[in-house]
Amino acid sequence: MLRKLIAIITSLKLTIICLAAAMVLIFAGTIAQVHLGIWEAQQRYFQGFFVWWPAEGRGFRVPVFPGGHLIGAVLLVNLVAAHAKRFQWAWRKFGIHLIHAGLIIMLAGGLFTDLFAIESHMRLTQGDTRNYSEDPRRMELAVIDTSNPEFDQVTAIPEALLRRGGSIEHKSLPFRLVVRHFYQNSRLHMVNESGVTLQPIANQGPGAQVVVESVPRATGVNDRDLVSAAVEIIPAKSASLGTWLVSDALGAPQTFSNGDRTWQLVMRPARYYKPYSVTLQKFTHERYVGTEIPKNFASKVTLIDPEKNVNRNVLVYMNHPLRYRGETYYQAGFEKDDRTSILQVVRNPSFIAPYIACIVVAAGLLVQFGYHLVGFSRRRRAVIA
Amino acid sequence: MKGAAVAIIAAMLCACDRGDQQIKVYRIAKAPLESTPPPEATMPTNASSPAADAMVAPPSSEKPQIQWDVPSGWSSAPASAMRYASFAAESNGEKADISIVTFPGDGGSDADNVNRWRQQIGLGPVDSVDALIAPQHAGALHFSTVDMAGPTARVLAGWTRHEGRAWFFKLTGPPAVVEQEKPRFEKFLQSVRF
Amino acid sequence: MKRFFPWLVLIFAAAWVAASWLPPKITDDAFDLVTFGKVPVLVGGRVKPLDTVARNSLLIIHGKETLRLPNGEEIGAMQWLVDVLFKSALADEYPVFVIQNSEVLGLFGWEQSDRKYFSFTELSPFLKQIDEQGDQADKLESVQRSAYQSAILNLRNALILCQRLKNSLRPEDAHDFSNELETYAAAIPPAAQAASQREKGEAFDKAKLDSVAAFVERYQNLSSMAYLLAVPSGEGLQWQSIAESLLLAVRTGEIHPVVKAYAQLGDAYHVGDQRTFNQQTTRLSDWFGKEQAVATKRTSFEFLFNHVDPFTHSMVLYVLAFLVACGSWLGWNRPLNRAAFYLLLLSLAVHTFGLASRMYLQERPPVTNLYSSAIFIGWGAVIVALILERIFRDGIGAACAGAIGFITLIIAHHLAGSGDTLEMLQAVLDTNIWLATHVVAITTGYSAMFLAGMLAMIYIIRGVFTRSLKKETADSLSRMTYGVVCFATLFSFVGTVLGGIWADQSWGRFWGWDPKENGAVLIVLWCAIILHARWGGFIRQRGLMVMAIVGNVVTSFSWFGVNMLGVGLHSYGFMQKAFPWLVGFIVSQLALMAVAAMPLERWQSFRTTTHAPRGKDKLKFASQGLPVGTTPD
Repeated sequence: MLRKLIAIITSLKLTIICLAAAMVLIFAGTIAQVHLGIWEAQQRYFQGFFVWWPAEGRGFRVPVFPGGHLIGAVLLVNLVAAHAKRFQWAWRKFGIHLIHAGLIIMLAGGLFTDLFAIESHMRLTQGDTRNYSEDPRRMELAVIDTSNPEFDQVTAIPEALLRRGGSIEHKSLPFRLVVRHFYQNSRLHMVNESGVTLQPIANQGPGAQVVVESVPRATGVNDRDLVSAAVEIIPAKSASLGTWLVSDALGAPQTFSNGDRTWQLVMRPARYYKPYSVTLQKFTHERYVGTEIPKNFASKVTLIDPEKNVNRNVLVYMNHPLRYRGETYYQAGFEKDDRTSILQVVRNPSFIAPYIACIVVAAGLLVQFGYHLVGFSRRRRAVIA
Repeated sequence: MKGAAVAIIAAMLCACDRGDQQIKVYRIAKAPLESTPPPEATMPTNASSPAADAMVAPPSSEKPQIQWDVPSGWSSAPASAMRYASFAAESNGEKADISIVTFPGDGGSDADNVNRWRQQIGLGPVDSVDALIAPQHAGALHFSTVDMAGPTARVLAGWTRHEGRAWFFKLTGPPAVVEQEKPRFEKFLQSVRF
Repeated sequence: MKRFFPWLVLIFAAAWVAASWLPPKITDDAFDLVTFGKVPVLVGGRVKPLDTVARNSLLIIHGKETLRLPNGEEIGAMQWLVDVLFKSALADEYPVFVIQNSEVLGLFGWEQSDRKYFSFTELSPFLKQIDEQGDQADKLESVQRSAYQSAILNLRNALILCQRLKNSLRPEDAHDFSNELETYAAAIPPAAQAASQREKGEAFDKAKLDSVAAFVERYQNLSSMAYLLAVPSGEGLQWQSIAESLLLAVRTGEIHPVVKAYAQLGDAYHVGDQRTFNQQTTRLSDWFGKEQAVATKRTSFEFLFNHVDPFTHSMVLYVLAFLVACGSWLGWNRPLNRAAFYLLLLSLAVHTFGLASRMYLQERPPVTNLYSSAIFIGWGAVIVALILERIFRDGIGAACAGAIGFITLIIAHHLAGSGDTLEMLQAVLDTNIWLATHVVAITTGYSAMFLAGMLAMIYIIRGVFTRSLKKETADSLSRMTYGVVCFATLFSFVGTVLGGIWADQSWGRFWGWDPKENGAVLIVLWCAIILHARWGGFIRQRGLMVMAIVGNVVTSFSWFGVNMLGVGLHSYGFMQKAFPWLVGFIVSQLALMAVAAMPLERWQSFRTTTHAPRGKDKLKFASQGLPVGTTPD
């Protein structure tokens, strides 16, 4: 039984099946980008163990095809196993082994990146200073204790927990948050607006004047969901503080107090704070003379890191990102007035893996082709002679 | 060997329970972020050549360098030949106009300017404007400000002189809107820097 | 005869190519459009000769580089351009605008007929309508536009381009432009005096100010129209249009010599005075030769490049070589084979000249857009195929070289319809290192994939429909295909990885699932499948061939298909018209695969051979696909 299993795991057939499945998946995932946009297609096809149908099932959903992670993992196991089993030392095989070792590193690095890399945005208008980046695709409910004059203590509750619903407790909070309603995508209306028949779902703060309409999820490439929720705040020792509406569509944080402490409540894109700050000094958008073809985008930013005593100007422009403390800032976009720059911030702990893999594979290719070239020319010489 | 494979799979399955399911708690200092620009002489660190800096030099470098933070709620309006920049604010259907105008030199005497604005909002000229002018500090800058209301319009203005140029910041509109925009305008003046 | 035949073919072909290098003749009584065609202007961010502007503009407006007049006379692009620039009333009558869409014709109340070219005069009553309709279409993404909307938008853009050209070097209503400029120049100093008097609060002559004001308004309107930036001012790419230069003259009081020369030669052309035109053209060209030596050298070369038209020549030679190589399988084997080889070498030389010229003109690595990728894929595939021909000497490599060279150049020809093929690069692509490594490696991979597919097509077509596929030929085809697939794997893989490194360097992530990246990795995966399937003995000769043809489909998807999706960072090369062609190509490949799937007994070549692959022999025949390391010879 075990032997049979090992035979399957190490078989070349499995390799080919995985490669073929990967092709089908990538093809489907690429075509799907037309309607879903790159990000959503990536989530559904490549960054999961299965491709599910229907994608937005409320009740049931079935896996219809192995997803990127599953195929990658099986291929990885197959490669490792096959080479461990069949490894034998010979010059003839050395190149092949190296190539596959490189591929293993690349595949493992890729999976690792998919699981642990964090991508976020930093949107800066000229003169702005920020010490955090945001993920516009993921919301969080920030519950902020502002009582301390020195610092704010933030408890960030990810959107996924709100979606799950129920009661949320945490040792940093002297109260429970009970999710009464959750809307993945919503529109807000004033309660006295004409033609609105819905009732407010909150009874505290500005949310009491607002009704929430549930709308289908955004599918456009540039559209995004406006997440809203109603949470009730129930302190451990006293009566409920009422139900509050939190929404991406509401701007400013709402304030409430509990005991002697003042809290803020806000639904916002998930934030990643940094121990340093970035100031946009100037954004430049150059075009070729007499055309609208962009020639260059550049953001001149100031990087201030009190911990490391860093205070310097950096130019972030096309093909020249800023790398600092494990994060990469690259020029990702701008807004129409050419004053606001959008920097993509990527933290990828395994960014070195592809480089190592490349070197190993390149070495393998050189060895292998060198070996064959020598053999080929020797044979041809023999033929001619 | 097999152990390795199992370990990899286990690691991957664990990793599925990633950060987006967990509550994070952290502290942020309340102190405002420092934004003193570093000495200009420093080369951009990741620019490949000095040419790169020249490359991003703004096409119209003659424009004087000034910066400010636009308050939320103000929308940019097209700058005209006279104006360096314009914004508009709106409340209950009434509009207020914010203009930034600059002139080389001193931009005329305060008395002339203030009396001209008075005339614009339907007030008569005064002999001495000194009583109307209040000083205000914004960082290293010194502004002179006035706040005058006429029958249908009110004007808030602040001006400063910097490196041989005079800068005028003016908020004009129906009294109700101007009253509402006043805190923002003051904050705006505070944010002006060169 | 047999020995000399290949040489004769080569000499004839070489003479034909050489003829195009001769400078065009200018008779004394004609307008010197050669010298004029070399004059540099700045359009689309690049300094180019007027000749290029003429060709590209006519291509955009008319779809062709020559124009047939109603009287049957055919005129070149330069002739058309000078008429547009200096004799717009005449040019308005030329039937240049292409309208084929029946809905667009219906908009004007016209019925569809044999006529598809219309003149500006015919369209002028509908300009407002065209502009409105085009505006609506312009607001849509190109994928969303209907055929009518694309057509009306194209027409609107063509009309705008034409109008801008007309107002580039002089106002279209100007008659004696140099005289106008003199009046203008003379009016400036008194007006300047009046202006300074007004400044000081003194009395001033308002009429003097007004006289210049009228000119300024006229040139302001003109400068908003101008398409050509014809006047170099200062260093680098600081060029101005004629109108802008005239507006600046208010300050300096002097009219730029280039503006004067253009005005005089324009007037001369307008009244048909070829002597003055030629004189002024020479003056203009001398001025540029002295003041803009580098630019002039480049534009003169570009003029030669346009004139020699290397890709059309090598296209013809490739077809010829393909036919000759195919002929060599039918009989008179050696001489035809050699002739094909020589023709290919000549063609490759011309092709290489074209490729190198483009690199010199653009100062870029060879592949910068879809057009150049087609040129490069053909070039790479021809070289590899010629190496194969050199090794195996059986005409197969030559036939492949001819066919692929021809097809890729035809594709390139059709991709050129959008105007300048030496266009400036989008910001992200503005890096020579990565263009030279990643893009070249990827396109070389494409070349090899198409070559492998071509070899497989020859195998299947010859095997199924003819009796010419002998066992040795089949074996050598199989070895060639296998070798080329290995080559393709290497380059596609290296190219994809380099692309990842570029992405990591620029955007901080190695892989972003962008359609073009996915396309590249599909090729790598498919190559890996072919190689592993062969090493594992899952496929033999025929299987390899069928998989190589699938490779054609995968590669064409990666090359063109992903661009049609219109998403992602690489979607700069979007094109819609090619879609039916892509589908047609894929269908043809599927058909070939179906043909190849017929049992071997039905294949012409295998049915008649004395040791037909039946029973045990079939096995023996099939086992030619040997695992790696044990090469069959």
